[in-house]
Amino acid sequence: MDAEGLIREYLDRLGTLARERTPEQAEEIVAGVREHIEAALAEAGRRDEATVRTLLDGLGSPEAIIAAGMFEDDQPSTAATAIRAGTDARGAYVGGTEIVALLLIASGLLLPFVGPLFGLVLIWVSQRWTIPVKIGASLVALVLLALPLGVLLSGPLSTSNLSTRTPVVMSEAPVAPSPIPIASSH
Amino acid sequence: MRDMVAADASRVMTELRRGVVEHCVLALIGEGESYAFDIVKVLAARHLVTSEGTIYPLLARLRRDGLVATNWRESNSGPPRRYYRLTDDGRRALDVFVAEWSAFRTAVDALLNARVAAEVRDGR
Repeated sequence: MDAEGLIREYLDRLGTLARERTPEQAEEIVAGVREHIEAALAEAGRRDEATVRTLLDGLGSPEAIIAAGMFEDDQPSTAATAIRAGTDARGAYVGGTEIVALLLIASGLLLPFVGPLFGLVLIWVSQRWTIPVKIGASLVALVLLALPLGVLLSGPLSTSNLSTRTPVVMSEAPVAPSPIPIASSH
Repeated sequence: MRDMVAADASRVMTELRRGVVEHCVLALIGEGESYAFDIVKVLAARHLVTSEGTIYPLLARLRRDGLVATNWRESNSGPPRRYYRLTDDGRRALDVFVAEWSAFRTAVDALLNARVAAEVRDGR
């Protein structure tokens, strides 16, 4: 069979199989593969039978392409599923968890240690916020965690047992918050 | 037995690729409007696809799911070409995957490295 015949037969077979499995996308799949073949042959600068056979081998048989099931008509792509599953949680930028986290962090001024610490946990639990936002919010929480400790450390009441205190280490890394500030306050 | 183990590993890699490749496609498209032929070439060069043709059903699905959009561009050589770009949903899907993949890779690497360390320690 000549090169053009091979291509025609290949695309016909692909079209038939695609229409059986995923009728709405069949045309798009065949058009894509046809474009690929034309681009590859243009790049090769030849349309002889050997070149076409090698090219079709690389594409895989129509059976293999359809059997791989990448179109999964009945099952949306995993990426789309992840988005849909997260739509409720991620639809709004601020939801219950985030509001409570912000309130707890802000309460650091009234409720030292405990508020910002729980706020910090909730920040990382949040499904809406991305890592950079979480790091930013964590820095605020860490500052509010450290503030009362700084006051205690420098205050007259704390001078007697100053040496037993663990120094507060401020970390900018997005690691789980260290419980050191609470432990050292007792 | 050795053949069975090898066949099993190959099946695992096929399944792993399948789940990961669509996000590699999103990542490639995320770098700028892309021509499908170029996407396939990059994936093939990195041995991420075995049958290059499987990318076309994948692209059709990503478009149907609204993760990518297309437009036609004139070509110097031949008919107009379809170019792919990420939609906002596609960008979000990619961001989610990048974050989760990074944690996943770190965890797997840590476990595999721990196993290697144990083997070295036990003199195996």
